[in-house]
Amino acid sequence: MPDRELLQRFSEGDREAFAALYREHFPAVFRFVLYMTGDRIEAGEITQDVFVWLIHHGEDFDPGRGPLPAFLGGVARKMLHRRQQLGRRWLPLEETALGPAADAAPDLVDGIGKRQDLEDLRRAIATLPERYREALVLCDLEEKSYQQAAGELGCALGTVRSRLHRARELLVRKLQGKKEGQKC
Amino acid sequence: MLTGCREYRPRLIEMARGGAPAGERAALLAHVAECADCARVLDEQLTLSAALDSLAGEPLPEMPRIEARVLAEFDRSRSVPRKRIGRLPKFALLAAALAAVALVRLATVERRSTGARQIARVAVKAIEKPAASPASVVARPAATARARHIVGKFPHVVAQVRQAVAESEPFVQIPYTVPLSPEERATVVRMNVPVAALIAVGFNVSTPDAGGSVSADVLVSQDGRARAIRLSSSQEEER
Repeated sequence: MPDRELLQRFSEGDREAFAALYREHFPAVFRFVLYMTGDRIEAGEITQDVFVWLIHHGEDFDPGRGPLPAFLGGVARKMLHRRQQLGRRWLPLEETALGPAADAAPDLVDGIGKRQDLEDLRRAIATLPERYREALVLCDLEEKSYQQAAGELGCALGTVRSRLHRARELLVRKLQGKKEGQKC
Repeated sequence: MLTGCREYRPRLIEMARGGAPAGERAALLAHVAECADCARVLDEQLTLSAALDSLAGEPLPEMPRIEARVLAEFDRSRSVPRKRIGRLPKFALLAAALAAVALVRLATVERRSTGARQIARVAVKAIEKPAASPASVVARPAATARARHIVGKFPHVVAQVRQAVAESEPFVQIPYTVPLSPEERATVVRMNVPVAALIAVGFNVSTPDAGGSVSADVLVSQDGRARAIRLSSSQEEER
């Protein structure tokens, strides 16, 4: 059933329609927030906030301005931004561990498929500056086109591309620093 | 690094993402073959692409609690009390009417009490701070006389009002600290603050006894830092 019909039924109080919307869009919202935060618990909380917000503000969605996933992505970004503002005074522990990059050539390949390495990668992504992180998450993890990402972020296509490139360069350097730190 | 490597970098990244046009790949590979730095960059970016693919392919954890909480919120938001009115028994309606009457009486008593408190407040201010008393008090001798009567007749109200006056003094921001944001939570802690500490944080204090201390309410923000201070009244200190 298309989102528009589900939304219509949900606005009329149909619980099953809302549950169907939730199950359809929860994975994408959760993934996006998880990649942005690097923290499963926080991602769960923010995703919950997004759908609770939808319950109370479902009428704010305008299908003429874009599909529901993009709308929910925008809500999630706002929630993330709000949390980030509140938590700005706290310095994450990982920030110090993943500090400045080493200049030495990396050995990024070692066991990157392992779970711990994926966790490191997730944390490294979470420490990227927000504008770079968003570009990386949308384009490389959610595999959206530059055009789609530009639409969601409200910026030019070239801006998304350059932010993504910068994000990838920074990420490699952060992971190098982590690897170097482990060797020492 | 060869001349023009900087221009190759974005294209190498695109190639590692699988986004470089087929016609460009040959030129890029030719460059990589003779430039060790660019070869390293391409290698790093290819590895990163593989790692990001692994991350994107990770299965999501089950989150049944979140679904339950969200659906519970949906149920709560859709429970319309109006539908239940018809099913309410008559005694409930009677109880509601009685409660409404009681509320009206309570509000009336509260308003009277508030009026007395307002007059007492003016009077306390006029008595305790004659220099700072508002001109309106001087201009309305009848009101002041009534207030003095209340001060004499209801000492317990006056005591409460004195406390309220002391607590209604505004907090003064501690110099060089970031102001509290509107959504930030804060707690008020009453403590004895050394005068030397007030001078140290930047307050202009003129006192012959810099070694003493004053009673003060300190506004402490969520991060545990003192943001603002309010000195307690002299009456409060005497107690």
